Amino acid sequence: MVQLTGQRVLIEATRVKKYFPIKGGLLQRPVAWVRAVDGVDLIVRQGVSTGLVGESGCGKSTLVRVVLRVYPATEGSIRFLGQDVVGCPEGKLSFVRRNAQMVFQDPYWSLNPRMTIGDVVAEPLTVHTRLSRVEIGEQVKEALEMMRLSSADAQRYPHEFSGGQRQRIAIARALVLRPALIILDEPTSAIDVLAQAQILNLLRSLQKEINLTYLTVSHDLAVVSHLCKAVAVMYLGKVVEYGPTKEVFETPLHPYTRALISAIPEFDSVNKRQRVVLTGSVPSAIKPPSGCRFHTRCPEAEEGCAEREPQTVEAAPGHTVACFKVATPGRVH
Amino acid sequence: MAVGASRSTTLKKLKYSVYLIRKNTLTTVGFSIVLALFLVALLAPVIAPYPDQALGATDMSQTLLRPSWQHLFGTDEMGRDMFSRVVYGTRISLWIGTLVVGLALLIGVPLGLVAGYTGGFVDEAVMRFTDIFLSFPPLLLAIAVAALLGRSLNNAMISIAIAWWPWYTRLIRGTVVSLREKPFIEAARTIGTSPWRIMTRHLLRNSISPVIVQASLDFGSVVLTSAALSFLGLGAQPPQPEWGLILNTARNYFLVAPWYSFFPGMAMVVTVLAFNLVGDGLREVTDPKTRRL
Amino acid sequence: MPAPLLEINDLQVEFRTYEGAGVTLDLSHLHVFEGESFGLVGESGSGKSLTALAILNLIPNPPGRILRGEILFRGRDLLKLPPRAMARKRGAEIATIFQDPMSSLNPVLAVGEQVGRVLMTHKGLNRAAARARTVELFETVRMPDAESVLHKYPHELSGGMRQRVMIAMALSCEAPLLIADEATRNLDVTIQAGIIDLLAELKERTGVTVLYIASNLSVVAQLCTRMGLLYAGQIVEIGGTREVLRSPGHPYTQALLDAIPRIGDADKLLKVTEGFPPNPVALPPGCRFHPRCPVAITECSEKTPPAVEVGSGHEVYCFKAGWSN
Repeated sequence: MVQLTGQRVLIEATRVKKYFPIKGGLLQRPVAWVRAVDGVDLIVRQGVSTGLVGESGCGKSTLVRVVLRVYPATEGSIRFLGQDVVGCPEGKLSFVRRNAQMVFQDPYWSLNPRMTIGDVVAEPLTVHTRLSRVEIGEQVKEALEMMRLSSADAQRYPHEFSGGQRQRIAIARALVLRPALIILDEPTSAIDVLAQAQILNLLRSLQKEINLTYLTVSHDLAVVSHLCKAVAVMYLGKVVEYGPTKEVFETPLHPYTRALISAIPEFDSVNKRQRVVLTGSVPSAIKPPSGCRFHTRCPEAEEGCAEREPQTVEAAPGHTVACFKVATPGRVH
Repeated sequence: MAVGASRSTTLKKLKYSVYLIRKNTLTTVGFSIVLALFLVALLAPVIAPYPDQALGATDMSQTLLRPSWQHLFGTDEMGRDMFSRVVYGTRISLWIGTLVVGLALLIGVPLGLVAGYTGGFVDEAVMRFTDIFLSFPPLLLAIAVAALLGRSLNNAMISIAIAWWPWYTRLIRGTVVSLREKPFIEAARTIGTSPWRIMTRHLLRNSISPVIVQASLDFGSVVLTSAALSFLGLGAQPPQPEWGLILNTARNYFLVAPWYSFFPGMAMVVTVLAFNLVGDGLREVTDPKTRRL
Repeated sequence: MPAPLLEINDLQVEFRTYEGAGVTLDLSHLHVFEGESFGLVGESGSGKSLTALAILNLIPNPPGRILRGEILFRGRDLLKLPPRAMARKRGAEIATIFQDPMSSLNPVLAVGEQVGRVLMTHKGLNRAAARARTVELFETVRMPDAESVLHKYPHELSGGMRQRVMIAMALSCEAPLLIADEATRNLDVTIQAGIIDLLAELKERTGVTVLYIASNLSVVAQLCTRMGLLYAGQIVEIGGTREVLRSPGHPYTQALLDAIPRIGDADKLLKVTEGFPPNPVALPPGCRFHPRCPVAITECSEKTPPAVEVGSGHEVYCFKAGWSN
């Protein structure tokens, strides 16, 4: 069961939309809009790490940035720890910043190349707390040691470390304030396999150690299955399926989810999955297809799919999907 | 001081910088000459054998003498010792360079930082404003200022600084624009770092390197420009021992006393060359990737 | 047994950095036979991309330098060829596909034009024939709507389509050897699957020999009949793909397999190998993997491990190879 009642809600996103303007003409007015996120509902509870999966252009990276108010939302409401994020005045956003941190995909450019890593990790502390230099130094030491880095490394510069080590430094920076939520944006896709395994294990043990909840954006479903209890599958700006990770991956209900899972390369030919071949390429987010956005590539598309957008229905407890072919009479969102 | 660094690290880093400078012979030469120039400027009253002559006192019995042991660089048409005048001229040139480049940096860098990071309307406004100043040829501006405020070295320096700052704005803005999309800036925003802090802690140190290199190179150019202005009568006024001014008078006596033009001219060449070498050397020293420390 | 199409013997490549000079590639021997697909697997810094560059004799000098070795292609040593002859071989006999098609394609020319030019230059076709052949090639690589794609520019195409253009270009000269350097790295999973299928199909149809360079074991598992693993510039294991993956002989191979997260096994923690690959400037003595190896013995830090044949065509460079796994 995913909905662990009693756990406080960290993120509550309702009908969130984020459109980016395409400017053109003499006066550079918006002539079209890229619908990066087009109506997303999502709830993330403490203790229920959630994954956002989907291919490039599905809006998952944009969504997390809208949640953190790195980009302002075009429409919809976002509540973080019960407080409104969308309408919040710029100066009052510190409650978000203190309780939600982010780790980025690129380990080479996510650390200031001219700052020692001690300073890099200390930055959240210097911005949000009034601790003395000594106290900050101790917190930094602790954070580095949690990521199996030596505190002597605090005086060194990022370029002296490998990609995997830099990502650990970035994670140390993210957890130094002991936030409730850490957003991981493709945390290991730029890192080698062995280093990735080290980081995934570290992240898992941290979840218990300091009660961290992750919102993991990834195109790699296996990474998500290792870190997250729940997963939301996105396609062209919408969530097409959501539920407990194990259940969604074992019994995917949406054709896109099935295609994603079947595309994962297999090692042994014994358990060869049935490959779901998708025709065509991802349509443009500027003029998404009518009706169900996936219908142009869906191997199971029928006539009605191009006419109306499917509603999100609860096909099993805690497991929702937006597809006409899931004919379970259940609660409609 | 940085949280992670200790006193010993700063010392180590300094030592390493010196090591890098010494490794490259040309850079060492450049730095040594610049150091020597500053020493000469500082100790001018002690080094110059005829300090009062440097400042204008004349001795009509010793006009246009060849270089000798009493007058290492010879004398000018007013009998003044050239060596003392060139030495005192160092003070003026270094003062000009420091003031003008310093002023230009002080105006140009913050503008470029703000424009580059803020983007949008502010960026447009600042850059158009900068463009206006870019289109002023320093010489014409100096003439205008001289006409308005009178001819003096200080006025010449102000006009050069006004003409110079836009280059730094452009330079740093370009770097900042490419940096602001980098993940570490986005990270600073998600941490909650204020824009002010982002600009000073993150953007400045990553974008200042080309500016510093340019400023060192400009030091020499500023000295040359000021000499040109003095040459035209717009900057230093007689009897100031400014090298350009000396050259102005020297050209009248070129055939008779070639040493008169030679020494101030060489002084300028050496100064400009030294600062160019320093600029190139700084480029290497300030890049953390080429350093091990 | 027929002679291999490509044979690399005792190749050593050195790179100079500000820290000093380090041997970044040290291949004792690597054979690729005609008609097979060989996967070269390694993490970043293992020297796998350098291998491709070495074969094409495109190692930047400075800072790189080939210290010794021979690369035999159809019996002739490529390293000894004069530059012009080597340039002729590239493209015509050895075709390459790189990781990022956007940087490999000319952004100001339509893709049809780009492929057409290759045909006109290397095959001497005239414009009309080149155009027709390009359409044929696009259809071979299963490009949807091949005719209209001819006029498109690279930025108008998706990543998967660009990679298909690259494959079409690589196929255009009917080169016997195709080197694919991480050709599916930046593509989405579903697109990647499509490209892998395409490569497999092409191999069947045209019999082209493929040297597939990857950091991703699973891609190699799907495509390649034989594979070799690189660590710190050296081959540590080489053999038939199925056999190597089913019974890996080298601890590094085992470590790689253990480290890959799988959907079904999410409950357990991954088996992790600590440490990092060595800096080429400061290589450990003996076996380069020994500081991280869970089963290292004293000998490992003293001598370089020899190749041990643990199966037919399956070699492992380890002192403990052949013992119970």
